[in-house]
Amino acid sequence: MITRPSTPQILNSIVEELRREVLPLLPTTTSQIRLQMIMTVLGQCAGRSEQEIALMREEAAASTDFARRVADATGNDELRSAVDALQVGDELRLPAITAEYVAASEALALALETALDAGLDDLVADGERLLSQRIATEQSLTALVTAGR
Amino acid sequence: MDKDRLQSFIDAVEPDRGGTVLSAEPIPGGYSRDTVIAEVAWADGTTERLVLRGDPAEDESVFRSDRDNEWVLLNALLDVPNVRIARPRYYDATGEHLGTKCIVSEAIPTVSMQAYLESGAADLDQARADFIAIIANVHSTDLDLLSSTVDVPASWDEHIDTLMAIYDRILDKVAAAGDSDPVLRYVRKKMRANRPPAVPLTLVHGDYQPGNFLLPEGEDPVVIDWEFGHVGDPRQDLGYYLQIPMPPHLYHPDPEAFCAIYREVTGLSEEQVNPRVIRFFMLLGMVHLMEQMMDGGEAVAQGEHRGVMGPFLVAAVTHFRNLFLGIALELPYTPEVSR
Repeated sequence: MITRPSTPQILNSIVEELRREVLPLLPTTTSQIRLQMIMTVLGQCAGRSEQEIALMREEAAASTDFARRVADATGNDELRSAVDALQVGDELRLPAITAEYVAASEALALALETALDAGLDDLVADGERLLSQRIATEQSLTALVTAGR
Repeated sequence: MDKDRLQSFIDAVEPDRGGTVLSAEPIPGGYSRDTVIAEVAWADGTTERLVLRGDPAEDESVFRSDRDNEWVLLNALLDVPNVRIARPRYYDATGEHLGTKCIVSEAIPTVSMQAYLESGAADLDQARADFIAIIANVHSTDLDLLSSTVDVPASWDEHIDTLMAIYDRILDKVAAAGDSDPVLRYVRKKMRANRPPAVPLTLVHGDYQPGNFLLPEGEDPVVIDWEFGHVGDPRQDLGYYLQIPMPPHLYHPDPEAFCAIYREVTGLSEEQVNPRVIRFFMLLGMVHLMEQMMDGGEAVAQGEHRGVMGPFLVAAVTHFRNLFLGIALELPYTPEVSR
């Protein structure tokens, strides 16, 4: 496996090449804006590729823990089943990690809805904090850059 | 929508006027429609500038709106005395001539309110009052003038239910794709528990921002870009404007004052229009575009091509999720009432 340059380093190098050598050659504002959008997406992919699996693992663990606490507090059978079905495997390829993340996300959604309906304010606050953290993580990887009009 | 295609179109729609297309230049950077500004010389010696707004290719775009509906609405608005629009001139309804379904309108030779604001010359208090007055004018449109051609919801409740159902549709599609979205699930639950007070249905512009108001010197302002125009809740427009990023912003510095002016102009009550309610209406005023951006991302996930906009707008989905979550976190939730 080639470790130097890493995937983000390669992508960032490509973005730099596009910026220096290709962008100035484009004859229309339309094509320049399009290339700037492409460079933005590539830059985001560079950041995302560096951390994606670790971040999903961390978030999934926090979501699972929260869902378990809500299930314990409410005795909700549907939520308990969802939590019991959550499994963390040894597979580190992206499809497996994504599947774990989606299942944990679904448990988080159900748990927060359950906590809201049960009026469990402390748990609701914990769930809301997880949602805010999730968005903050997404934003750190995909900062919105406005291009165009 | 290039010069040759426009020439062919002009020859077809104005066979007796001897039109010659002098130029047709794209206006870059639009997120939704492709736009071209053109100049045509007629045989009688006059020249005319036209704006062409057409659908981008399906596989190069994310946002969808219906040109047929827009054309119908624009023509209905011609008979509305309180709203001035750029006069729609021609419609290539099949794309036979221009290569895509395309509305051709008169060009208004002036700057937009956004450009005026950015010039630094504007009195921002006056600009805010004008900005509100223009949309209040739109909202005061007599719906009887539109109802023969434009869909009018049976009731305010039905309309709000339709908007809220977009969240159901989004989340159904997320689930069908094997994904989960706890943020939008939470937003939907809090939103449903906080139905705002009703107001009369009005004409809604659907893209309320200073860039869509043109200010000809000494004339009434011209309202453009009606692709998302419909009959709905006027607060959708106000809520939509909250997420417009271009400075100087006319709402955020003083939300209370903005709402007070709108109330004064429209006669709506403080219960109906206040900053809390307007923030709520961002959840309803933006959700149709949220759905389209998420559809674009899912298309990319399915291996379909949506041009650069599909991947680029993934970041916008995160941005709007953040805005939506911020609003939902502020909303109260009472289990006994909300179940």
